[in-house]
Amino acid sequence: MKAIRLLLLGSLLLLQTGCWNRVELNDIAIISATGVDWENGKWVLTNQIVIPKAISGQAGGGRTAAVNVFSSTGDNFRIAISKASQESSRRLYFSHNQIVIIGQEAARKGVGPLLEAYLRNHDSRETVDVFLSKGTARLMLEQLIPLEQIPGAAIQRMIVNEEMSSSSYRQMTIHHVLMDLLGHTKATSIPGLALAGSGESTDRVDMLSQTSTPSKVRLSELGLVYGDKLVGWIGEEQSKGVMWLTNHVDKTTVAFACTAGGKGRQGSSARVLHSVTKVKPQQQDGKWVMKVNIEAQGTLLEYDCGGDLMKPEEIWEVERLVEERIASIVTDGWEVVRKHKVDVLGFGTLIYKHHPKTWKVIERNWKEEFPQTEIELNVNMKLSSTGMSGKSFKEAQKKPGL
Amino acid sequence: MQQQFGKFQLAILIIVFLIGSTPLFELGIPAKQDAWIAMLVAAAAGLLLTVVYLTLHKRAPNAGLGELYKYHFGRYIGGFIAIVHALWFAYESMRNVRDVGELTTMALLSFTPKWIIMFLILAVAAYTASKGVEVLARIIQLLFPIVILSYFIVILLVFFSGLVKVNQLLPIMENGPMPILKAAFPNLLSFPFAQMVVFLVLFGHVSEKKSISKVTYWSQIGVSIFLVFMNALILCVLGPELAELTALPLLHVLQLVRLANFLERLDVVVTLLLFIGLFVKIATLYIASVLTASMATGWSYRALVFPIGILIYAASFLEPNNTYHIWIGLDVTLKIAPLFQIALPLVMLVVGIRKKYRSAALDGAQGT
Repeated sequence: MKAIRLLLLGSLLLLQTGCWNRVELNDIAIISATGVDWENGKWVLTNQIVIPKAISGQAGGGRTAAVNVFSSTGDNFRIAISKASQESSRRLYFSHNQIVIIGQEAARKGVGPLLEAYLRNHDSRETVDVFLSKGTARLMLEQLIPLEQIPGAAIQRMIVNEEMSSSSYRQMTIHHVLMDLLGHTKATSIPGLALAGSGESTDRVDMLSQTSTPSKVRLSELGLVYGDKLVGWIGEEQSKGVMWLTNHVDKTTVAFACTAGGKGRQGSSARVLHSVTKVKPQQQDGKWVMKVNIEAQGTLLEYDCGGDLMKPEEIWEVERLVEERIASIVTDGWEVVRKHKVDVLGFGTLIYKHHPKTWKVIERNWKEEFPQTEIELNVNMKLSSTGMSGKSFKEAQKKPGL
Repeated sequence: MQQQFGKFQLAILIIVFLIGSTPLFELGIPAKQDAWIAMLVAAAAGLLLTVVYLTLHKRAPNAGLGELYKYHFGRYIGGFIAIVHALWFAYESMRNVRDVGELTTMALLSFTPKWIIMFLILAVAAYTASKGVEVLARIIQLLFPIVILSYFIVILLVFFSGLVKVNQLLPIMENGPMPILKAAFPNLLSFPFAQMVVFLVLFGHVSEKKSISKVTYWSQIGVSIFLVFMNALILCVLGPELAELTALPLLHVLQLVRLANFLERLDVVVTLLLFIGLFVKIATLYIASVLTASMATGWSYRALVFPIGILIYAASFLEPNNTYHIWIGLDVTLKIAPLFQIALPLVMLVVGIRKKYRSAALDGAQGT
């Protein structure tokens, strides 16, 4: 009897090994980046897969590229992925995917199907970063990037670096995009990638042996998405304005000129170390006015103007110049977003949160009402330090006799 | 002599049972960003129901649910109701078994067949059931620290990764109180709060009779606050739109956690909580079913464990797919549940114990 019991218990163990769902490392192709394009009425899905052999060992890359890029085509995403098995020896494994690049054409067609695929499948992580691309997504995925072995991971680190040091663009994950597009304004903004340089693709390892590559992937322009379609691009400076307005600036550098009104060469710059933007919607004479209050704090990096910075009133003067400059960046950004009639700034959401009853009335016409909105800016910059020197070099050089 | 457990074990049992799988889902989401308020309202109503249950329990401190039915409605009607209620407990247990099957294949082990997943968890529950109430209480006591620690870690990580945006809860009561009440009653009251009715079966097994009310109230209040908090937390991270879309909101939230480039993919924690929570529900309802059925039929407890287990396992295959499973859960189960959770206890409260059983009910009290 006891023997039978033990046998039964032992056989239970056989059921608990979890072999049904085993994933063997040498059966999967780990994907580091995905690209989506729209060509000839079909989705083209490009995968960048990591070649483990090329990144292992001390050599650090060596003669072969660490990734391989291939595409498959289909009427929807998942069928394209399943077709990949016709040209791949291993099962595609998406859990370590770092970025998704959406080609311009695909983005104009609509990103809805992509988001749908992400929501429905548990192997697609929503912490994946999203980018738009001026060229095809495939072209971006083919580029090798100096310093990093896996381009997908490199681009992901690029946006993190950008967000932390100059905040012209913001890291947009699938989750952020979903939240924005499912929200009340149905609009979002996604950073774009472009190939800068000669246009010759940096897609061979030996090209990295030179000190300068003919072209490189860089962040460029901000794509505005309404509904699920790309409707327009705005430039880097305007993108900064958008970031200021949406409270996504933390650290950035602001270049400013010496004279009030911002005329002349911007020879000085200040580093913003911390900033908070608060927006409050208010109704005035049948119009919506957004009270934007920006509190920034930072230090002086480079100074090209006159005056003695050892005096508090001179510092106030400099602070005022920086404030003016920030205000003009924000206004520029606002004007261009207004022209596109896409509320990527979340103004509608703010009205909904604070005046839900009024929002119900205007929600329908928000696309028309949004451009009518005005903003009222109040920028407050505090310079906490002028760095390790006082007067500017130019000032210090001036001799009393001359 | 029936099996007994102490007041702390009762407290832990109430806490873990009510937590169950509840925080994994965003209940009350028809009220949009006010889901947490709906939860709060339902929790308050749930507490009132517990007052009713405890009043009934005090009339016959040693009785289980089956005996209570007998004392109130007589041997035949009471016995019949007890059997029906025992079947209902088995049905609710089966729903949780099926939940384990569906959620595991959906979110974790997509190639593993459901029958084996459901068989494994039910086998553990059946083993617990065969050992009785005392063992159930002790198992839950063992699992309790894991549950608390896991939730603690989850909450901490979600806060640290800066995902919580409190303004997602605005505007409060956008469309007045009606949507909140509609979400709260009867759905939120029935699940999870009014599932406390299962404790009418278990109260009789608590050794420290005097503290039952106090312990029950406090643990239920505590766990209600926790559930409302978890509900609001999920809303703050996902917002009402996304919270409504996803099948497993807490899993979704944890997948978004990314700390210091290495603390990510914390799905394991959610999986652990899912299994523990659902296991506790399955085992408790299973045992409640067996106890009630045994009282009503007079058959021994041990003789009923196996047949009811088979019944639960077989019934868990009846629904053809997940959509059907959820549809029955929301459109059918929640319509019938109030009969057992609210109507029958209230009728008992009004009818009062029949004269000929009065001494029997109180005798039991002196017996311990």
